[in-house]
Amino acid sequence: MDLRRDVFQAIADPTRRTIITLIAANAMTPTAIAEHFNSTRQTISKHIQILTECELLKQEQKGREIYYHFNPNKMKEVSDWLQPFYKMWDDRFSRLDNVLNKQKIKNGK
Amino acid sequence: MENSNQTRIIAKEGKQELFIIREFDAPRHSVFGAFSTPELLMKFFAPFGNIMHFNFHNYQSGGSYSWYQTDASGKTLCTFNGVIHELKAPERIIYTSEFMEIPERGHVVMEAMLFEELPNNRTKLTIHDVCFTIEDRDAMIKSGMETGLSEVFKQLDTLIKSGLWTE
Repeated sequence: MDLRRDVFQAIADPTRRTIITLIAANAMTPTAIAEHFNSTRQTISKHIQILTECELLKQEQKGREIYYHFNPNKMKEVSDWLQPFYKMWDDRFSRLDNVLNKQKIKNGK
Repeated sequence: MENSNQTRIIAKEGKQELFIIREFDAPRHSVFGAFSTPELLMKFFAPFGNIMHFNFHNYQSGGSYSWYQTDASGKTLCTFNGVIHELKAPERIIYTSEFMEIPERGHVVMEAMLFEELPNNRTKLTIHDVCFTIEDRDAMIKSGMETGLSEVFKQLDTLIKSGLWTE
């Protein structure tokens, strides 16, 4: 597995999705983020690092503190990118399920 | 039982290929038949309430097809032409596909559909698409947006634009 640092990897993890939701509401320091989780600081730091590398979070230095901001443009990329294509196929396959079920009923008679 | 039949799409960044994987609660010959019989394709292939029409079809090795999709009002959304390289029942279909609404010809996709038998009369379908360029593959994924489902994502856009997700 190559080390992908893209939005899909970023949102694949539930903890990272929660971090995104928290920061989307308002910018936070790493300490404030970690307080929302039972995991260790190191674990949360790692998630923050991945999210930053994927450009979903942006750092801002305010005095001695680092604040993390959410980058909505990057998130929009997710919705514009794979989701519509996924939905198209998922919808197509659901319809095929129906076609196959009807065939089964017909053949069963 | 339904939950195991989740659609999976693997589209790695910077690749010319993508995979679409799905399992079905139906025997292999049925799933194969659905993807190689125009009358059945018309029942499910066009998503989001769109309608699939064939200009012509000849589903056999060395055959060809041309189909287009219209929305409920009859407006043509997209046309796809291609040739069928191999149709081997019930295990494999290899064919080409070209999206005809783009102005430039030559952005052809090669698609392989592999049908695998699973226990309990179930089937695993793996679709492997290969494009000439990374840009073609990315454009193909993005084209999902134009086939009528933009409505689904308007909600998310609205949320983003609402200001909740701004700095």
